[in-house]
Amino acid sequence: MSSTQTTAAVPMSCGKVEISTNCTDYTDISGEVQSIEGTEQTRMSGEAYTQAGQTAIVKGGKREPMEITVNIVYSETDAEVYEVARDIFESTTDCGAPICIRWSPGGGDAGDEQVTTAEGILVSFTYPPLDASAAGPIMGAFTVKTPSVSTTIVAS
Amino acid sequence: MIYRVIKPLSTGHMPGELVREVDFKKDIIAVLMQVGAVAVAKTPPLWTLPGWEKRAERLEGAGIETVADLLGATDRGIADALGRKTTRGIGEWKNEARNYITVSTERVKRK
Repeated sequence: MSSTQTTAAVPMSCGKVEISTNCTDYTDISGEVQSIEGTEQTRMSGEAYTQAGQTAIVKGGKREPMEITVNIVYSETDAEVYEVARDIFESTTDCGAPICIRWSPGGGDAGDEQVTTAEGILVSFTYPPLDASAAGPIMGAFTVKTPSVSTTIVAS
Repeated sequence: MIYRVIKPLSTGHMPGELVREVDFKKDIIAVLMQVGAVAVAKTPPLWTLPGWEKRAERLEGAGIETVADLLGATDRGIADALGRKTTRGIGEWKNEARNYITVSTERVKRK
Protein backbone atom coordinates (compact mmCIF):
# COMPACT_ATOMS: atom_id res chain seq x y z
CA MET A 1 0.00 0.00 0.00
CA SER A 2 1.18 3.53 -0.62
CA SER A 3 0.12 7.12 -0.02
CA THR A 4 1.06 8.05 -3.58
CA GLN A 5 -1.22 7.35 -6.50
CA THR A 6 -0.71 3.96 -8.14
CA THR A 7 0.85 3.72 -11.58
CA ALA A 8 -0.15 0.08 -11.93
CA ALA A 9 -3.85 0.49 -12.75
CA VAL A 10 -5.19 -1.86 -15.43
CA PRO A 11 -7.75 -0.79 -18.06
CA MET A 12 -11.16 -2.46 -18.32
CA SER A 13 -11.08 -3.02 -22.06
CA CYS A 14 -7.84 -4.79 -23.00
CA GLY A 15 -8.36 -8.16 -21.38
CA LYS A 16 -8.44 -11.73 -22.64
CA VAL A 17 -11.36 -14.09 -22.04
CA GLU A 18 -11.38 -17.85 -22.62
CA ILE A 19 -13.92 -20.64 -22.30
CA SER A 20 -13.53 -24.37 -21.71
CA THR A 21 -15.95 -27.28 -21.74
CA ASN A 22 -13.55 -29.54 -19.81
CA CYS A 23 -11.74 -26.93 -17.66
CA THR A 24 -8.44 -27.99 -19.25
CA ASP A 25 -8.40 -26.90 -22.90
CA TYR A 26 -9.36 -23.25 -23.34
CA THR A 27 -10.54 -21.32 -26.40
CA ASP A 28 -9.97 -17.58 -26.74
CA ILE A 29 -13.33 -15.78 -27.05
CA SER A 30 -11.99 -12.26 -26.64
CA GLY A 31 -13.26 -11.41 -30.11
CA GLU A 32 -16.90 -11.93 -29.03
CA VAL A 33 -16.93 -10.82 -25.38
CA GLN A 34 -17.88 -7.29 -24.43
CA SER A 35 -17.84 -7.55 -20.65
CA ILE A 36 -17.80 -9.77 -17.58
CA GLU A 37 -20.02 -8.98 -14.57
CA GLY A 38 -20.96 -10.56 -11.29
CA THR A 39 -17.39 -10.95 -10.13
CA GLU A 40 -18.11 -10.24 -6.47
CA GLN A 41 -18.00 -13.21 -4.11
CA THR A 42 -19.48 -13.06 -0.61
CA ARG A 43 -18.78 -15.05 2.53
CA MET A 44 -21.63 -16.21 4.77
CA SER A 45 -21.66 -14.57 8.16
CA GLY A 46 -23.80 -14.47 11.24
CA GLU A 47 -24.04 -12.54 14.44
CA ALA A 48 -25.33 -12.85 17.98
CA TYR A 49 -25.77 -10.42 20.81
CA THR A 50 -25.44 -10.83 24.51
CA GLN A 51 -26.83 -8.88 27.40
CA ALA A 52 -23.33 -7.85 28.46
CA GLY A 53 -21.71 -6.57 25.26
CA GLN A 54 -22.35 -3.38 23.31
CA THR A 55 -21.56 -4.88 19.91
CA ALA A 56 -22.33 -8.02 17.96
CA ILE A 57 -20.32 -11.22 18.03
CA VAL A 58 -19.61 -11.87 14.35
CA LYS A 59 -18.40 -15.13 12.89
CA GLY A 60 -17.75 -16.13 9.29
CA GLY A 61 -18.80 -19.16 7.31
CA LYS A 62 -18.16 -20.56 3.85
CA ARG A 63 -17.77 -18.53 0.69
CA GLU A 64 -20.94 -18.45 -1.37
CA PRO A 65 -21.11 -19.44 -5.06
CA MET A 66 -20.65 -16.78 -7.72
CA GLU A 67 -22.79 -16.12 -10.76
CA ILE A 68 -20.55 -14.65 -13.42
CA THR A 69 -22.26 -13.15 -16.46
CA VAL A 70 -20.43 -12.87 -19.76
CA ASN A 71 -21.97 -10.37 -22.20
CA ILE A 72 -21.28 -11.44 -25.78
CA VAL A 73 -21.87 -10.33 -29.33
CA TYR A 74 -24.53 -12.42 -31.03
CA SER A 75 -23.41 -14.29 -34.16
CA GLU A 76 -24.57 -17.35 -36.04
CA THR A 77 -21.11 -18.84 -36.56
CA ASP A 78 -20.77 -22.29 -34.98
CA ALA A 79 -17.22 -21.71 -33.78
CA GLU A 80 -18.03 -18.42 -32.05
CA VAL A 81 -19.05 -18.16 -28.42
CA TYR A 82 -22.79 -17.51 -28.84
CA GLU A 83 -23.31 -20.88 -30.55
CA VAL A 84 -20.76 -22.63 -28.28
CA ALA A 85 -22.50 -21.37 -25.13
CA ARG A 86 -25.96 -22.15 -26.52
CA ASP A 87 -24.84 -25.72 -27.21
CA ILE A 88 -23.60 -26.10 -23.62
CA PHE A 89 -26.76 -24.57 -22.15
CA GLU A 90 -29.08 -26.76 -24.22
CA SER A 91 -27.07 -29.93 -23.48
CA THR A 92 -29.27 -32.90 -22.74
CA THR A 93 -26.65 -34.81 -20.76
CA ASP A 94 -26.23 -34.76 -16.97
CA CYS A 95 -28.55 -31.82 -16.23
CA GLY A 96 -26.08 -29.30 -17.60
CA ALA A 97 -22.62 -29.72 -19.08
CA PRO A 98 -19.63 -28.41 -17.08
CA ILE A 99 -18.03 -25.15 -18.05
CA CYS A 100 -15.07 -23.02 -16.97
CA ILE A 101 -14.16 -19.52 -18.00
CA ARG A 102 -11.04 -17.54 -17.30
CA TRP A 103 -10.12 -13.94 -17.93
CA SER A 104 -6.97 -11.87 -17.70
CA PRO A 105 -7.47 -8.11 -17.25
CA GLY A 106 -3.93 -7.40 -18.43
CA GLY A 107 -4.34 -9.27 -21.71
CA GLY A 108 -3.18 -12.78 -20.86
CA ASP A 109 0.53 -12.31 -21.53
CA ALA A 110 3.17 -14.07 -19.42
CA GLY A 111 3.33 -12.36 -16.04
CA ASP A 112 -0.27 -11.06 -16.15
CA GLU A 113 -2.78 -12.22 -13.59
CA GLN A 114 -5.54 -14.57 -14.68
CA VAL A 115 -8.80 -15.36 -12.90
CA THR A 116 -10.19 -18.86 -13.50
CA THR A 117 -13.51 -20.27 -12.35
CA ALA A 118 -13.77 -23.66 -10.73
CA GLU A 119 -15.95 -26.06 -12.72
CA GLY A 120 -19.40 -24.52 -12.95
CA ILE A 121 -22.76 -24.81 -14.63
CA LEU A 122 -24.37 -22.54 -17.20
CA VAL A 123 -27.43 -21.35 -15.30
CA SER A 124 -28.62 -18.67 -17.68
CA PHE A 125 -28.49 -17.95 -21.40
CA THR A 126 -29.83 -14.92 -23.26
CA TYR A 127 -31.26 -15.56 -26.73
CA PRO A 128 -31.14 -12.66 -29.23
CA PRO A 129 -33.54 -9.78 -28.58
CA LEU A 130 -34.80 -7.48 -31.34
CA ASP A 131 -35.40 -3.71 -31.26
CA ALA A 132 -36.32 -1.69 -34.34
CA SER A 133 -35.22 1.50 -32.62
CA ALA A 134 -31.73 0.26 -31.81
CA ALA A 135 -28.68 0.64 -34.04
CA GLY A 136 -26.04 -1.50 -32.34
CA PRO A 137 -25.20 -5.19 -32.74
CA ILE A 138 -27.42 -7.78 -31.06
CA MET A 139 -25.99 -8.81 -27.73
CA GLY A 140 -26.38 -12.12 -25.93
CA ALA A 141 -25.15 -13.33 -22.56
CA PHE A 142 -24.57 -16.42 -20.48
CA THR A 143 -24.11 -16.88 -16.74
CA VAL A 144 -21.81 -19.39 -15.11
CA LYS A 145 -22.51 -20.42 -11.52
CA THR A 146 -19.30 -21.55 -9.86
CA PRO A 147 -18.20 -22.26 -6.28
CA SER A 148 -15.09 -20.10 -6.55
CA VAL A 149 -12.44 -18.51 -8.72
CA SER A 150 -8.67 -18.70 -8.38
CA THR A 151 -6.05 -16.15 -9.37
CA THR A 152 -2.80 -17.29 -10.96
CA ILE A 153 0.05 -15.73 -12.92
CA VAL A 154 0.11 -16.55 -16.64
CA ALA A 155 3.21 -18.69 -17.17
CA SER A 156 2.87 -19.80 -20.78
CA MET B 1 19.05 -23.13 -12.30
CA ILE B 2 16.18 -23.97 -9.96
CA TYR B 3 13.43 -21.54 -9.00
CA ARG B 4 10.99 -21.44 -6.09
CA VAL B 5 7.37 -20.65 -6.99
CA ILE B 6 6.15 -17.65 -4.98
CA LYS B 7 2.69 -17.08 -6.53
CA PRO B 8 0.30 -19.67 -8.04
CA LEU B 9 1.03 -20.12 -11.75
CA SER B 10 -1.39 -20.84 -14.58
CA THR B 11 0.58 -24.04 -15.25
CA GLY B 12 -0.68 -25.43 -11.92
CA HIS B 13 2.59 -24.90 -10.01
CA MET B 14 1.82 -23.75 -6.49
CA PRO B 15 3.86 -21.63 -4.04
CA GLY B 16 6.68 -23.61 -2.47
CA GLU B 17 7.23 -25.88 -5.46
CA LEU B 18 10.52 -25.99 -7.33
CA VAL B 19 10.64 -25.49 -11.09
CA ARG B 20 13.34 -25.36 -13.75
CA GLU B 21 13.75 -22.90 -16.59
CA VAL B 22 13.22 -25.73 -19.09
CA ASP B 23 9.77 -26.37 -17.61
CA PHE B 24 8.57 -23.22 -19.39
CA LYS B 25 8.71 -21.70 -22.86
CA LYS B 26 11.65 -19.48 -23.74
CA ASP B 27 12.03 -16.28 -21.69
CA ILE B 28 9.00 -16.96 -19.46
CA ILE B 29 11.12 -17.39 -16.32
CA ALA B 30 12.56 -13.90 -16.70
CA VAL B 31 9.06 -12.43 -16.87
CA LEU B 32 7.90 -14.46 -13.88
CA MET B 33 10.90 -13.25 -11.84
CA GLN B 34 10.14 -9.67 -12.83
CA VAL B 35 6.59 -9.89 -11.44
CA GLY B 36 7.75 -11.72 -8.31
CA ALA B 37 6.02 -14.98 -9.20
CA VAL B 38 9.22 -17.06 -8.90
CA ALA B 39 12.61 -16.53 -7.30
CA VAL B 40 15.97 -18.26 -7.63
CA ALA B 41 16.02 -21.08 -5.10
CA LYS B 42 18.95 -21.26 -2.73
CA THR B 43 19.33 -24.93 -2.00
CA PRO B 44 21.44 -26.73 0.61
CA PRO B 45 24.50 -28.86 -0.07
CA LEU B 46 23.58 -32.49 -0.73
CA TRP B 47 25.58 -33.74 2.23
CA THR B 48 23.15 -32.01 4.61
CA LEU B 49 20.25 -34.20 3.51
CA PRO B 50 19.62 -37.09 5.96
CA GLY B 51 21.37 -40.27 4.81
CA TRP B 52 23.02 -38.59 1.82
CA GLU B 53 26.60 -38.26 3.08
CA LYS B 54 28.13 -41.03 0.97
CA ARG B 55 25.98 -40.27 -2.07
CA ALA B 56 26.87 -36.58 -1.79
CA GLU B 57 30.57 -37.49 -1.74
CA ARG B 58 30.24 -39.42 -5.02
CA LEU B 59 28.20 -36.68 -6.65
CA GLU B 60 30.61 -33.98 -5.49
CA GLY B 61 33.29 -35.75 -7.50
CA ALA B 62 31.07 -35.20 -10.53
CA GLY B 63 30.63 -31.50 -9.77
CA ILE B 64 27.14 -31.89 -8.31
CA GLU B 65 27.22 -30.30 -4.86
CA THR B 66 23.81 -28.79 -4.12
CA VAL B 67 20.19 -29.86 -4.53
CA ALA B 68 19.89 -27.31 -7.35
CA ASP B 69 22.89 -28.89 -9.13
CA LEU B 70 21.23 -32.30 -8.86
CA LEU B 71 17.79 -31.19 -10.05
CA GLY B 72 19.26 -29.11 -12.86
CA ALA B 73 21.31 -31.95 -14.30
CA THR B 74 19.92 -34.57 -16.66
CA ASP B 75 19.65 -38.16 -15.45
CA ARG B 76 21.97 -39.23 -18.29
CA GLY B 77 24.47 -36.55 -17.40
CA ILE B 78 24.54 -37.66 -13.76
CA ALA B 79 24.89 -41.32 -14.74
CA ASP B 80 27.76 -40.54 -17.11
CA ALA B 81 29.51 -38.43 -14.47
CA LEU B 82 29.30 -41.34 -12.04
CA GLY B 83 30.44 -43.84 -14.65
CA ARG B 84 27.12 -45.68 -14.57
CA LYS B 85 25.65 -47.43 -17.60
CA THR B 86 22.01 -46.83 -16.69
CA THR B 87 20.05 -43.95 -15.18
CA ARG B 88 18.15 -46.32 -12.90
CA GLY B 89 17.51 -44.82 -9.48
CA ILE B 90 18.56 -41.29 -10.36
CA GLY B 91 14.95 -40.18 -10.75
CA GLU B 92 14.25 -41.40 -7.22
CA TRP B 93 17.27 -39.47 -5.88
CA LYS B 94 15.91 -36.32 -7.47
CA ASN B 95 12.42 -36.85 -6.02
CA GLU B 96 13.88 -37.46 -2.59
CA ALA B 97 16.04 -34.34 -2.73
CA ARG B 98 13.13 -32.29 -4.05
CA ASN B 99 10.84 -33.46 -1.25
CA TYR B 100 13.38 -32.47 1.40
CA ILE B 101 13.32 -28.86 0.29
CA THR B 102 9.78 -28.40 -1.02
CA VAL B 103 7.73 -26.17 1.23
CA SER B 104 4.26 -27.52 1.89
CA THR B 105 1.42 -25.25 0.79
CA GLU B 106 -0.92 -26.67 3.43
CA ARG B 107 -1.78 -24.19 6.12
CA VAL B 108 -0.79 -25.08 9.66
CA LYS B 109 -3.98 -25.47 11.65
CA ARG B 110 -4.18 -23.22 14.68
CA LYS B 111 -4.53 -25.05 17.97
